[in-house]
Parts: sequence; C-alpha cells; structure tokens
Amino acid sequence: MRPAVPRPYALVCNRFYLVSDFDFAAALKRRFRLPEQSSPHSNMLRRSIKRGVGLLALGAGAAMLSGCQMAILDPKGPVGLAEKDLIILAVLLMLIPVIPVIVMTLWFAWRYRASNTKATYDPDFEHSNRIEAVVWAVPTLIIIALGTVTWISTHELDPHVKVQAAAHKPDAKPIEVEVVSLDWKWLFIYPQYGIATVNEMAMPVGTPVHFKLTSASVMNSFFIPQLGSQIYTMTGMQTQLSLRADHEGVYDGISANYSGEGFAGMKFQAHALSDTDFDAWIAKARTSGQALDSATYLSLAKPGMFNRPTYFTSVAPQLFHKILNGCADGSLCKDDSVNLARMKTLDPDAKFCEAPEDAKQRAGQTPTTKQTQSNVALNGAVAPKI
Amino acid sequence: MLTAPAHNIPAMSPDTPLLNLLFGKLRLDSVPWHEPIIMIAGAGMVGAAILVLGLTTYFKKWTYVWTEWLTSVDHKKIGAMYIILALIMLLRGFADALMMRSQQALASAGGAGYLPPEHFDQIFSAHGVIMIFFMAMPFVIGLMNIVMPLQIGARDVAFPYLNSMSFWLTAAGAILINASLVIGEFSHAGWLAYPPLSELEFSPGVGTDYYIWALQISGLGTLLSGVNLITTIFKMRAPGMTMMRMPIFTWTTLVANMLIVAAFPILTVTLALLGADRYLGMHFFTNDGGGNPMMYVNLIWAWGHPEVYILILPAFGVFSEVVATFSRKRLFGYDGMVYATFAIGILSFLVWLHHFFTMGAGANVNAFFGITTMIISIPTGVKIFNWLFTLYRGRVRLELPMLWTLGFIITFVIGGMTGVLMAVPGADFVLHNSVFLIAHFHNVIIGGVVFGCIAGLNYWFPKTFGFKLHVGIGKVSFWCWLIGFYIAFLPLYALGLMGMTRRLDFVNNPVWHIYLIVALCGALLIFVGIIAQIVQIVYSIWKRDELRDLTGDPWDGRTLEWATSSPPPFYNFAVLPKVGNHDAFWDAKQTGTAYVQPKSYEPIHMPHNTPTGFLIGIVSAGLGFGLVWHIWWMAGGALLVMIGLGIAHTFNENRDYYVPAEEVKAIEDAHFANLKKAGN
Repeated sequence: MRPAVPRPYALVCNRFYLVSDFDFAAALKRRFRLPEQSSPHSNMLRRSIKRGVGLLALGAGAAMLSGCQMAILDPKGPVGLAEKDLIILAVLLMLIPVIPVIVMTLWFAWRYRASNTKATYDPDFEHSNRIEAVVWAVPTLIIIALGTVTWISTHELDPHVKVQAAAHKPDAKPIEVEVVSLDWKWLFIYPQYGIATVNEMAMPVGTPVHFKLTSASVMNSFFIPQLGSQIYTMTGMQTQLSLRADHEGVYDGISANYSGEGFAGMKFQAHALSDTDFDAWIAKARTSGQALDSATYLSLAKPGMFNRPTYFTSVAPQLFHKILNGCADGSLCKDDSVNLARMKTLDPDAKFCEAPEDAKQRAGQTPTTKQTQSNVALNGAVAPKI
Repeated sequence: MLTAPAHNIPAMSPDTPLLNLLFGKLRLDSVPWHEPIIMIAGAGMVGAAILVLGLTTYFKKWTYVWTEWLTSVDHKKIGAMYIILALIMLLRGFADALMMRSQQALASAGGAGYLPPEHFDQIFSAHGVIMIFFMAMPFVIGLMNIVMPLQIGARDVAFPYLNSMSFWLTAAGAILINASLVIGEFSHAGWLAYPPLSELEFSPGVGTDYYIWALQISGLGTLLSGVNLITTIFKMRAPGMTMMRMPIFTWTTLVANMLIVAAFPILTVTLALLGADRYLGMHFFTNDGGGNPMMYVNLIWAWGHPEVYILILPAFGVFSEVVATFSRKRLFGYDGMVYATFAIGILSFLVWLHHFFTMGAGANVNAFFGITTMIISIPTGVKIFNWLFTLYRGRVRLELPMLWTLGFIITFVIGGMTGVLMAVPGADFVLHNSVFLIAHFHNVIIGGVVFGCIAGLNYWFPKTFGFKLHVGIGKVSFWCWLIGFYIAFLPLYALGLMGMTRRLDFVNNPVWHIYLIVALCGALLIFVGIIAQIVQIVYSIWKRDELRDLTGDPWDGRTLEWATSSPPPFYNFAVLPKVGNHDAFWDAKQTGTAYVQPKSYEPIHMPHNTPTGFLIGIVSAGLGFGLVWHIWWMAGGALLVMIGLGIAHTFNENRDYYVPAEEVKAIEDAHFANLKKAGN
C-alpha cells in the first residue's frame, strides 16, 4: 500500500536558520505599524536590543532552532512571515518570566538545601505583600502585552482577510481556487480558468490566491506550511483563506487533520511559478484531455489513496457549489431545499415555476414585500443549476 | 490509483436470526486471529489475569481479597485500587506509545513500518483514551480518595458505598477498553472521536461503540465520585477547620471535583448524542440530515478543556504539600494559592475554542478565546512563584517527592510557554495539529500531571501502606523519566516547526527520520523509568521491614494525615482532631499537643463493607459489552440486574455499626507503643 520510492526531498540541511537574524524592531514595527525612526540614538538602542534579544534567544533555543530547515520558520509568503514573527515575538515575551523561574528554581533549591546551615531559615515566612504584588503583576503585565499582540495579530491574520498583491505587481488579479478535500486526496478547481487538478496546485508568484474550501467527506485541514495559515475543510460548510507565495518553488501541502486510513498519504504539491510558467501550467491542464464531469467526479470521490497529480480540461458547472450543498450526485441541493422550505413558510399558496407577474395577478394586487421575497426564493429554487 | 481496503468490518460469516439474537454482531471471526501483534498482547493480558487469579487461589487469599478489597468501602483501599488500576493502564497506554514511536521511526525515510494504517489509527486512539481516562484520571482520583479525608480529619468519605461503586464503574470502563483489543476493534477516530469520522458512515465497526460505552460507564463513575468528594469536603471537616484552614491539596480536590460535576455531564450528553446517531439513526453530527459535526467539536471541548484542569489541579495540590513539607516551611501565599485555584477552575470553562481556532471563526471570537486562555497563565504563574518563595529561606530536603517537584517546575514552565504560544491564534494557524502540539500537551501532562502523581505516590505511599518506597531505585526512575521526556519530546517540537502533522502512520521524509529515531530513544528511556517505578514498588514490598514507618510521620509532615499511624486504622482518627490552622499537625508538634494519648475513647460509627458497588460495576461491563455488539438480551438483562442490585441494597438495614471503645483503645495502644519504639 505504501509508495515504494519516497518523493525526492532536499536531503541536506540547505539552510541554517538563526534567531539572531531576526529583526526584532522591524517585526514590532510590522506588528504595530510604527513609523520608521532614524535618530542615531534609537538606532543604537535598537541595535543593542536586537543583539541582546538575539543572544538570549540563541542561548535558549539554539538546540531547537539551529538544525535543519524548519518550514514554519522559513516562510515564503506574507502570511507565513507574519506568523513566524508572531511566534518569535511571543516566545521572547514569555521568556522574560520563564528564564528567571528556571534559574530561581535551581538557585533556591541549591541555596536553601538542608545541608547548607549558613542560609537563612525562616519557617514562618509565608506572606509578603511586596512579593505577592510582584508575582501577580509580572504575569499580568506580560499577558497584557501578549494579549494586545494577540488582538491585533488575530485581526490581521484572520483567514477572511484578503491578502494584497505583492508590491512589484500591484495590479495582479487574485486567483480564485475552490478546494475540496476527498477521501484521501485534494481537488482544486480554478473557476477563472475552467480547469481542475488533483493533488497539485499552482499559483503565480506575488499574486494573491483566494481559497474557498469545503469537504466532500470527513473533516480535513488544508495546510501549506511554508505559506502560512491552515484552515479546516468541513462538509456542508465553506471556509475561506487567502495566501500568497513570494518566492518560486514547490511547497508541500498536507492535510493537518486526521481523516482516516489514507490520511498520511493525503498530500499535494503547491507550485509557486512565474506568470509565464503559471500560464504554461494552466495550458498543460487544459490539454490533458480529461473532463471532470459528474460521473468522473463521483468516481474520484470514492475513497482512494496516493493519487498521482491529475489534470482536468474542464469542470462540470457549479461543481463546488453542488459539493458544498451535497448534491453532486444529482440529489436536491441543500440551499434549494432551504429555499423551498422558506417559500412554503412565507407563502403557502406559492406554486412552482410561477413568474412574479403571475403571482401578482393571483394576489390581485401589488405584491407585498413578503410575496416578493417568496417569489425571489422560488425563482432561486427553480433556477436551472443542474 | 490504489483503492482503500474496506474498513475493518468483521466478515459476517453465518448470519441467522438465532445467531443474531444470541450474539448480536459478535462472531468467532470478530477476534483478529490473524494479527500476531494483537494476539500476543491479548495472550499476555489473559496470561497475567490467569496468573493473578491463580496465585490468589494458590495462596488461599480469596476471602482476604473479597472482604478487604473487592467489597471494601474504606476510602484508602478504594484509592489504592484506583492507583493500581492507573499503573496497570499506564503499562497498556505506554505500550501503545512505544508502538507509535517505533512505527514512525521505522516508517520514515521510505520504510513501511510494521503497522497497517487501520491498526496504527486504533493505537493512537487507544493511547489517548487510556492515558487520560484510565491512567491520569484514576491516579488523581485515587490520590484524592486516599488523602483528602485524612487531611480534613474525616473517618471516610460522605458516601462510602457510592465510592466503591464509582471505582468499579471506572474499572468496568477499563475492562471494556481492554476487551476491545482482542474482541473486535477499538475506535480509529482519535481520542475525541470527532464526527463525521466517528459516525456509522465512516466507522461502521464496533470500535467507536467500545469508545462510547467505555467512557459513558467510567464517566458515570467519575461524576458520582465528584459528588461524593465535594460533599465530603463541605460536610465532614474536623472541628475548627474552616474553609481557609483546609490544606491546599484539599482545596484543589474541591475545585477539581466541582469541575468534574460541572463538566462530565457535557461529556455524557455529547457521547449520548453521538450514540443516538449511531444506534437510533439520528442526525446530530452526521454530514446529512441537517447534522452539524462542529457542534460535537464544540461540546466535546467544553468538557475537554476543564478536563485537563481536573487533572492538573490535584497535581498542583500535591506539589503545594510537597514543597512546604520538604522545605520545612509554611506554604508561601496560601490565600493567593486558593484564589488562583478558583480562578483557574472558572477560566477553564471559557477557553474551549482554542482547540479549533482553525475552524474559520471570526477574528473577534478567536482573539477572545486566545486572550482568555492566556489569562489562565496568570494564576498559574502565581502558583509557580509561590512554590519558589516557599523554597526561599527554607531547609530543602531533596527527597524523592521534592525531586519530582523540582523537575515539574522546570518542565512545566516550558510546556506552559508553548501552550500560551499556541493560544495566539495567528501562531496556532501554523502549529495546530502539528507534533509541536503533541510535544506541548505531553510537556504539561507528563511534566505536570504524571510528575505530580508520582510525587504524590512517593509522598503518601508510606502513609497508605506503612513503609517508604526505596530511594535509590526511585531516583533511577526520576532521572529516566525526566531525561527521557526531553529526549522524546524536544525532537517533536522541532518536527512541528518543520511542518510535521500528528497521527501519521508513515512519514515520507528522510530529513525527519533522525528526529523520530531520537524521539523513540527518549520513549525507551521513559520506559526504563516506568520499569524502575515498578521495580521500586516490588523491591520496597520485599524489603518493607527495613523501610517501615513506625511514627506515621516519615517526612516531618504538616497536615493532619501525618497525625495518624501508617497505615492509618480503618477509622482514621480515634478522636477527631481540633484544627486552628492549615498546618494543623505542624502546629500540634510545635505546641506539644501531638502524640498525646487521650485517657479514654468513644465508640466509633463506621460503615459496613458491601459487595453491591463491586457487583454493579462488573455487571455494567456486561451492559457495555451487550450494547457494543448489539446483544440486546445481555444489555437489557445487565441493566435490570444493576437496577435490581441498587434497589436491593436499599433494603439492607445493616449498613453501619459502632467500633467498640475497647477495640479502638487496643489499636491506639499499639500505635503509641510503636511511637515509643521509634523514640517519639
């Protein structure tokens, strides 16, 4: 069941990531949108803060971070970059109390060991307003700082927020991608290009990609670690995400939520390409000769593992909408059934396929708001979608 | 394209109405005879059970086992049985951990490993369920059972028979989980069984049903235990022990049990709704019929997050007792500790959404839950500083419980830091569900709960059994656990940052291979620690005469449990102590009122043992088994028997008695003779 040969990976640690590279001041500025300052004084201060912080972090995290390439700490897009900065900023903030606690634990245990009779022994020392004020204040202040960072960053990194195009191509039109998680493969539909792919996607560098996501089966999580944020895919629900790749390359895409037997193999590749290469990629898909019609989709949706990347020349109309509404197999769509139910509630006498003018006549008067609504619903329900 | 093998449904061989009526879905080929790993593990379990039963028979100990243990309502013995259950399940859960770690180490860099996915998926599901519900929970409930009544100067818990029933219901859940290893399969939907994966459509086998009924039955036991312990604390404190004079362990017991009573009903209802989907064709969490799986995810975490505080708060209580005792100093900031405990208890209900920031909620919702999560670190931080300032100007003795405590503080602040990191939604978007998360919660659960439980085990073992645990072997265990923990989980932190997600049955990345090998080595070192733990207990039992504690106060303790003999007499206190401070026994020793034998004794009112709790618990395993396999006569019959037993028990008028004053005097005289021998 396993693929015999592993995918070619970079076998060596091709990049060393050092925390001392991290520009603390710049990250703070990015986070709080502070203006650039250029007084030599503040520069010096910044440099010394940076040096101190870098050394501190190196000491604490060298063992962890100086190893091989860490996808999360080597982001290739603005979302991932902001998240990397956020992780480092949060860790540094928290090290302010954590390091003293570790030092104090070892120091006190050693200093006040029972055999050291020279140390002060004060068996009734159980209360000190000053110490207690400090032990409540220190964590509180850290959390106020971190809470502020959290509030701001959560709004900035909200998956509903659309990422902007890169500075060098401000007019780039965002690419829309509809993503469906199937057992156990990823389906990507490009509505602007009318193509679809399985287990491989591509995007032009510097162009924002707006994802709409759902699942045709159990829950999964769509995640390209080097581009940032993951998001769940859930049946009958649509989530959204906006990412951008700023460097050409092939990035691993995974499902980050366990979804059953074939989960470990549920991987795809995200190609970040130049505009010309992206057009070529689209053209390649267009000439694949295979159409993703309803029947093909239904057979694709059956459980299966280790799908090779596949391209489809064309896609059945409204396929994503139908998957989202549970009607890709030709049954009644959920939104339609909701509309029908709503119509019956609002206007019990409504008839199917009734034009608004006829309804007006039937009511014998100008339609009230209520009737208009129901007719809109009615028309929505019977609109030819299949 | 390769097609998936069908889910592990036992082939329905002969399928006649009679067989269906008699055996439901159960057939001979429900047992995976062809799976050597399962068969060997199953044979080991059956063999161990036969060995225990055989030895009991050989040494003619059945009467002793029945009267002194199985039917006992003594809180100390029930607590001890909880901890024995926890240690047995620790072995089972850790075997699962070793299999996962070795599978990932073998199945990275191109290998295929030795576990097929459907087996690996059951293993990680079982590992989580066993470690949380049947290792950590029984361990902390066992400690609370043994210690809390002694600390408040009570003679037993408020409802002794209910206590026995709670334990046996928990044991029944454990029996079901272990049965699933050999008969049928266990859930492969993860330890929280998220739908729709856990629904019939995607999990048609009996695994999820085992999960549901094992947790329902043991969860009922836990809930009843919570009611019992809260009542005990509220109603049975010794004269003079106001709330603010209770030892901190008793406080954490109180808050943890309040969380149990508030949170476990959510679990029961959630699993009942999932059960309704699976058994009655309903659509609460299904993909179709208007179901909403995300409702389940919300509900299960509304229980699940308080659950982790149910585990960690009693551990915090243990550390508070240990730090004060082994620093020979009053606990610093007692009032702050109490408020911090309560703050943690309340906040634990306001953070559940941080387990699924990636569901797509809006920024305000995510930020709110992120910040409430961080706020929990304030009272937690206060607790840590209070422990540190208890060490400050103390006389620190590095006995075993203290070693575990120091190991805890250092490990836990690191785990707390990674936890707060993941409470930042933006950071969680890339760390969620990765092995970084796995490393984080093992960091706090091993570093916090497990270290606390073992500290408590070493601390209160002499109180419970009358002799100390061997120090040398205990130190081996401590260092293996501590170092093993870091070797096992630091690589997982790194792998998480490399983008490795959890629950992978194979890993197709040569760069990760070495990290997984190191993690496996760490797990093996922890395993040596667990073995050392067991050797320590066995060796100490063997050398118990050398390790005997005659005084009842082996550590120069501060709270009331040390005022009794070791082990305490079954009535705990011949005369109820008077309490003027949260360090009641320490004060008594200072003022010279300790170790003064009263001139006369009163008769003591005590409960009789009863087999009802044991019988109801064991029959409930039959109820669960019948429900899992759709053997309706068995389920219905078991339920009727359970109700019948409960009603019959109400007719038992002979449920309590008075211990005559002479008997009390004889027992106390022996204790004071021992004290004299020990030079007090």
